Amino acid sequence: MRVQKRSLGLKSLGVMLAAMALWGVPASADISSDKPGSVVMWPKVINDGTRDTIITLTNTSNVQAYAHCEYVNAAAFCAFTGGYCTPGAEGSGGPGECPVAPGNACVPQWQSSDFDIVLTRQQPTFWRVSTGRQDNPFLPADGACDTTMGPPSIQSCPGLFPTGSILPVAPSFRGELRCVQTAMDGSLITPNSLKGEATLVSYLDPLDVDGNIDTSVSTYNSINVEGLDGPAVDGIVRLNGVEYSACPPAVEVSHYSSGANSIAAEIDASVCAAGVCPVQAEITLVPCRADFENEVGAAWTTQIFYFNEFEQRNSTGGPIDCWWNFDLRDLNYNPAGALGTDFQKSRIANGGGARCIRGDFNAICNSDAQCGPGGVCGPPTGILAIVEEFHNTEASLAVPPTGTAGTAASNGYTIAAANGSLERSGRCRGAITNSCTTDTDCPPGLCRVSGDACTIDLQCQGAGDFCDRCMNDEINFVTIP
Amino acid sequence: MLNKTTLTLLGAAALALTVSSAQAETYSDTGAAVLIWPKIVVNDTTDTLVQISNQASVASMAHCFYVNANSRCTNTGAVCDSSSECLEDGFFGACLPGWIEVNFDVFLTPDQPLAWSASTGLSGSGTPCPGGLGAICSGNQGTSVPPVGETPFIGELKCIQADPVTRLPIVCDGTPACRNDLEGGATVTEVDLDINPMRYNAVGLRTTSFNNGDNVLVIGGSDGPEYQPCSQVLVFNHFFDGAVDPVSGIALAQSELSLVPCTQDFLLQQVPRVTAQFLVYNEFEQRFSTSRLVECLLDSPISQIDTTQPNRSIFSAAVSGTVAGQTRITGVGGGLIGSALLNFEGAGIGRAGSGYNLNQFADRDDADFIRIP
Repeated sequence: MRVQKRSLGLKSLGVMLAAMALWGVPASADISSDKPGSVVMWPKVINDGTRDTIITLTNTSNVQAYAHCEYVNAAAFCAFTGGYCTPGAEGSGGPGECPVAPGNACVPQWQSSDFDIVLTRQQPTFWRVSTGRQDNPFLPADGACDTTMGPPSIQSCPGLFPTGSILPVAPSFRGELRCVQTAMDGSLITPNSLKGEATLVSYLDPLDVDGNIDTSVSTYNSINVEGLDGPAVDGIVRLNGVEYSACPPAVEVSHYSSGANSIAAEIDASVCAAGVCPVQAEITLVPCRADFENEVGAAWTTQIFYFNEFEQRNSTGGPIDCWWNFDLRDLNYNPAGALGTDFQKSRIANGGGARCIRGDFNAICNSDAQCGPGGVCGPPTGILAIVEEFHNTEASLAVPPTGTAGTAASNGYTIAAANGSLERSGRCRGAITNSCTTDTDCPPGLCRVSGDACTIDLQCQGAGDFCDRCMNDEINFVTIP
Repeated sequence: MLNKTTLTLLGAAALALTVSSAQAETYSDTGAAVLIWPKIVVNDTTDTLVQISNQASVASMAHCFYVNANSRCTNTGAVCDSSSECLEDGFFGACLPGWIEVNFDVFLTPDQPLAWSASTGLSGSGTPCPGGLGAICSGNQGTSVPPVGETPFIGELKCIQADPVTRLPIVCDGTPACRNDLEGGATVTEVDLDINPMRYNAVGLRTTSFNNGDNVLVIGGSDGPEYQPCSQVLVFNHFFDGAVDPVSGIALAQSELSLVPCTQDFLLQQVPRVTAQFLVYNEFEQRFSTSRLVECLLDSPISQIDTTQPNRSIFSAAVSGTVAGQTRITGVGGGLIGSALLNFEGAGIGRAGSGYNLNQFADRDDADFIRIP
């Protein structure tokens, strides 16, 4: 089942309004990690041979729920030497930098794969991304899964799994997962009944030195988008504060400074190397915008201001294509030792300008004409973030390591705009530097596909067409052929 | 037969009958005026790193309260987990929950992140910006975070954005806008051959557009609320205790839940009591239920919420049968705020855990209160 796109009609409008009565219109709107929503995002999903991820998803409503999901594999590899890398880490000396060699650039990818999921009322479910999950009603209800050996390995677990099956991800997967709530026929709806978590699990037994399999576990909450009035055009989630909540103006994460000594050293310094248990941190950023129909991730220019305990502010960032996971050392963050401060916080926003969202995708633009024939110049994408810390021990720092670092993940914080809004404003079509919160803030717009002048969506009658006036982030899902 | 026009009219009528929001108003990922850390732990192998940060580009002050929720033997006064530990002269005393509050102030400079260990605290020259000769910066003067009152320690922390002079909430009526500048988190860190950090975000209460600045913080309700309401339902996704970790196929899951009441009376030192009702759903859509009194703080492995024999608990995989579960927690007699920990452990595996936040659903109709001295 794919997300269904239909032309806007009165019937759809009536159904949408009726749905609103059933599920309510929220008093306030924002994207959050602690409330159910109609779009659920897991920014950090890993299956790379050292880590695996358990995705949990729950239907919090008393009616059956359906969702359409998209994995995005954004793993980046060094062009010649292979191996994982971090775009933007060149010259940093950080762990994400590719070995210096001619042409050995870090090459990212953006590969999506989709599936659909069904949840009965109030049902929790989960799956392991490396194995997926296959329904098996004959499994005993003993709280344990059964894994068939592969490749690929497939896992079945006790419980209802009306979805049938979820396929495993690729063996070298680093990326994200997004699910959008739909009706049974695949049309987008906004009952705001989905929530989830991701648990990143590492099991390493590098030398089998002590017979133990060293472990680390991190859990973070999914980031959930609240549906509001619901979609005006099926298949396109418009995060504009009208149909769905808009992304935050900026996000912030708190973390240890790179190399700072973990609090663990105060508890028991014997696990540390010379009394020091250095902590490293990774920040994962995902753009709010995604175009699964055209298989295009959003590009943006990251602007990061990081503050330390001494009121000092530094900046870093750079141009990025879609998903980005980096160690602080990859961006030359000031380490703890340099300034003696153990804690920092990073405030992250899109520091770049408008980009083409149709035509010459992701090209920097100021007008539609710069995006080629049929092109549309759209607003810069919003950004969402989580952070994960790695608490190293003497064992994890040994060469080769004889243990794993302890890990802990947490969600980022929304930073409000100057006017106190937790949602970022949009930009006007045809006047892309003008901010807006509703269509009435903008002059008459243009139909997305036909380019005809318009003021409301009903004036754009072509398949998949709608009126662009106040534009914001969008998630464009695959259409039914 | 319904035509398009009729459907449109029906939809419009439905819109007119639209009910109010089902989304709750407590936040763990946005700036707030009150922060609650439901789980602070200190013992021989565990400490908690408390983080608080000022989102604003102006200085902020937080008036904070540690709540020591250790249970104690009625006969010996020693910290205990159960009455079996309260043996003296051949007789067992009762192990009763306690509630001891200590308050202090934290002064934050613009945009400053700050952190301290619960076991050692933070004060004076230990602050990053103590001011004075030779200091890199000033602005933390007046900050004095004590170490927690004893070891072992289990309890919570609350911080209220306050006026630095009155130590009460900042008076506001929307002009200027009421402030929501605080964000926070905690990392409960265990050390036992390895480091096991478990991090969660502090839960925040945002202001409404009014605060009279007195010592009674009105949370939700319909009579002059000063802060957004606590949630009606906490939604807790978890693995059932004893469920086999799907990744290793060996380690067993164990989850811990911490709940604290929204209502607190620090002035009269009255122990808040709320009954938590639990509805537990497994992956077969089967539902179980139980309830438990939350007296100051409920901090428990989930399979010991309803029984002392974990294998018989509705929170155990042995009873529920599936790996994953959803528990909906409703407070009766008051709102609840919580956080969760997940651990995977077993012979030959060791122990590794993580922290995460509960989800929230719907607003409480009744008000909660925090009364401060």
